[in-house]
Amino acid sequence: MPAPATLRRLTLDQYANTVRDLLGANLTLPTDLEPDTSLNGFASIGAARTAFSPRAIEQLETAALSLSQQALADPTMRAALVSCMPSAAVDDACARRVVTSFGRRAWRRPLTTDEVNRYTAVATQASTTLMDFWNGLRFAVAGILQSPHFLYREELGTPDPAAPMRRVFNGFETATRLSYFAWGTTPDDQLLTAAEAGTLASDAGLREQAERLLASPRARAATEIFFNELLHLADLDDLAKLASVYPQASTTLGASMRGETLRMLDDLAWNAAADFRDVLETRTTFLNAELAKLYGVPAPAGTGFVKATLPSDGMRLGLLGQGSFLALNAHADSTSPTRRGKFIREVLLCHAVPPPPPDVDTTLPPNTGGTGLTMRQRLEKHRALPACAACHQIMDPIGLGLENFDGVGAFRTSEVGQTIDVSGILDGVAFRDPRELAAALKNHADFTSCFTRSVFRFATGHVETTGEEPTVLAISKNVAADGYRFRSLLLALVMSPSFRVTGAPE
Amino acid sequence: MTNRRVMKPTMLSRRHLLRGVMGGTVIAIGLPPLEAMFNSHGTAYAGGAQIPKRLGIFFWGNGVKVDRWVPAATGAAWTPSPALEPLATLKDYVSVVSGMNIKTGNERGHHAGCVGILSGAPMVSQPPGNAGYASTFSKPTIDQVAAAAIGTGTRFRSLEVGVSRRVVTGEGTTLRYLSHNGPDNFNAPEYDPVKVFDRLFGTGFVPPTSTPPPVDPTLALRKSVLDAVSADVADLKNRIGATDRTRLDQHLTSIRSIENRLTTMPPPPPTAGSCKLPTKPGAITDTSSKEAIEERMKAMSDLIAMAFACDQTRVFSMMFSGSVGSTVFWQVNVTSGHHDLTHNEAGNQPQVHETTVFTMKQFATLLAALKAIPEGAGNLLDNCAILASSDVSDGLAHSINNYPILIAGKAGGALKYPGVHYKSSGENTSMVLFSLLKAVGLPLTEFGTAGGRVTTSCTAIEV
Repeated sequence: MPAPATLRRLTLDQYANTVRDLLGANLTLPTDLEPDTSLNGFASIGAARTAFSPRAIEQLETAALSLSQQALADPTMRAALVSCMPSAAVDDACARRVVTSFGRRAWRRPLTTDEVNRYTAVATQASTTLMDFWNGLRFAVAGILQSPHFLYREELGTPDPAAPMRRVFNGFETATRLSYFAWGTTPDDQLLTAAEAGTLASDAGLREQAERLLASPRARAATEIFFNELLHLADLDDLAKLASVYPQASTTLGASMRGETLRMLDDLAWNAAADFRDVLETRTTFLNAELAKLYGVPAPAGTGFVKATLPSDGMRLGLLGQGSFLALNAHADSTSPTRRGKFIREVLLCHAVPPPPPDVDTTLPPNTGGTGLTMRQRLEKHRALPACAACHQIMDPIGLGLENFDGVGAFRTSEVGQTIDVSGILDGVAFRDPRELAAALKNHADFTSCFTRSVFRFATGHVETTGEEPTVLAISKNVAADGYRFRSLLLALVMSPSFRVTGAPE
Repeated sequence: MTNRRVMKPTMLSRRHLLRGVMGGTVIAIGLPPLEAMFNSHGTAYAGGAQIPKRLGIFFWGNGVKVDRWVPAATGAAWTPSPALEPLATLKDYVSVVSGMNIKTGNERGHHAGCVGILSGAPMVSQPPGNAGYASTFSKPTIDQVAAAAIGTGTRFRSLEVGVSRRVVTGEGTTLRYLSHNGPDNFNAPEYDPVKVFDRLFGTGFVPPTSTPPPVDPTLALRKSVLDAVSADVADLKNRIGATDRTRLDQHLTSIRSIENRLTTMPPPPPTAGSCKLPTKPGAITDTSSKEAIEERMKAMSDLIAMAFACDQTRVFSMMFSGSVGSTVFWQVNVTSGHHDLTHNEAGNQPQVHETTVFTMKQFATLLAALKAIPEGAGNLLDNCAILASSDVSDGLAHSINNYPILIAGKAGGALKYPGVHYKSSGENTSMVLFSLLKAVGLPLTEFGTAGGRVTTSCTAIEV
């Protein structure tokens, strides 16, 4: 059974991209909108579940009035929006043409006659009151931008005569789903035309449009949003590190770390020949001076990022060797093998980790300097208490394999005067150091399926149902057979039933 | 509410003008209270209507050190514990309730306490298999329960503000937002005092003793836009399932409340009581290492107080710091995030305790701002009922027993003054929520859901 059909709010990124594409790139965008809420890992899932608060509706009204005012005040934007010349202050026919054409683009489908009448009447009433065509039209445009048909993606489908429990997306719904997935914005004219012509109903027609979108640089921008959410990179804006323990920390370090990770992922994801699992083992990355210093490698010239190759005999490689992952999943004044292990379990392997039980003292013995304990020794407490052991056993041993990197991501070989032991076992595969941990993870049976799940959730706005599980596994298998290429994964998802049908609304 | 329709004869022409534009829409009037409206005792408006009662919530994350929180003495003779020392000068306005337990279950540390203490109902876990965890509320928080009864006649139904931005954003709505209307349905706090000012006292607010603003014809046009949007919402409702219908019902209600505001006639300039246009706050800048918590707290407190004085709203919630939040309390020399601190500090956690003292100092700022504004024969705090609490009892152990609860304000005489320390032996925290809702006038006979349901309130703090 597919998941029930739901209304999906435009996320903030989608809203911003959409109004720019509809009205013009030079708009001043509203800054006062309700934040996205990430649920089960993704804002797109939150967008399918959360309601607009009363305050959000107020904010959207203010935003729509501002956007429509800007679009009609600017000659270029106005010319793109209005294809007729008003004959007088009140020109019902010209207003009707604008409502019809702008409405189709904004609502991602043609308007019904009632709908055209409704917003033409708004324009005509306003033009009459204000004795000005353009100021009057502004209210119709503002209305179209406040309508639920604009604010929600209505991917509701129509019952499949062959299988009444399934609902098939029509051309416009398919175009909307594809465009927001691949580009993070509203369908362009070419895609709407294909939707109207009915060509998206066929495999060949859908594939042709999907390939066109995925070949565009806009797909890279949309994918960046996916990686940013998947890896919690927005949290780097607020990276709290204790300066006395980690003097490398700075107000720019978090942004540098995010910059490295996003550049590395972009480079790898859109390299047609690359195996996306290399994200764990690649030594190709992008460094600026600050990160080069943190990593102890030669600094690039200038202030920006430069493509760099990390030493081939070093312990630092792949995502797990990057500051973003290492510093985010640590404390302000120490590492946290538990957090690093939890992140790997939950985000990279899609394994569920139970929460800490209530009424358990979770304090670890403090590290008292040279005479103290290593993190591995301190975490023994987790394993000594039965209430803690069951869950920590699935997180700590993985994270301990990365103890060569301190809480801000700098390399080290000793702690409190002792040589750090970075060996461990990941689900039956022994590793001796971070390099072997990366290899074990890359070859873990759940890594590719988990990555597929994440893309699926981001794209569809829900966690896969039991009925959709075979689809996820099939995509995963096909992608493996096809050399683990990122673009193949995106394309396979678009062509899968889960992208093209939905369940009855509940 | 007839007392609030007092208007000068000169208003008629404006009214007729507006009515003409609106095509005959009935116009309601939302006036700030005038000094002339209070009776000679100052306890009620002239004409007999009571001074409004207000409800508020002050919430902080990660609990307290219980041994330094609970005052030793009970009853009216209580004296501040070390944690409550900052409230010493406001002690008469504060009651302490200790020893109560959250009885909606402790399904997940922090989450369960948040939901229990703010709504008296169990949390909803959203752990679909192997995806990232999320949780939400099952029922509205008490600010929204109150707002449905006492918040519908003011320009704003309720006001939500936040102070520290370092909240958890990745585990669902529970940890991220305080005020909820229902599951996955929240009222996000505003962290920028400038934006709060603009919303409350910007366009649409008519300051006392000002010249009446000219009627803006675009207000009626905005209403016609919203009518069209409402028709779209109604169309769409026919095509969707029950869950989405709930979302769209709220969408419609929200549109209607904007329409009401648009068609509510701007009031004539009043002769000022305590209501006046406050000074616009300056921009507050946080740095990566230091959040400007005290500055934001002061600005937000003053805005809430003036919003009450001008009767722009009667309900607020303030998320001072987040549940599991990573606020760095640099003001008391803490260098790590608050949640980390509660789990990592050794011994009896003196630093954690210091963050609680600091938090109570900020709560005192809020209470002092309300107390400073006269209303009737007393002050605003006399007419407030404020809940102050957290997401756990002790953050270290995620306990939800012996919960830290403060009640502030007299609620127009419904709550004990001077305040008391009521030491319970394990009663349900929902009893306090029940008391607060009763104190602001809700005619309830029970409150809460499942383990949080109670049929008796906490009479020890009531008059």
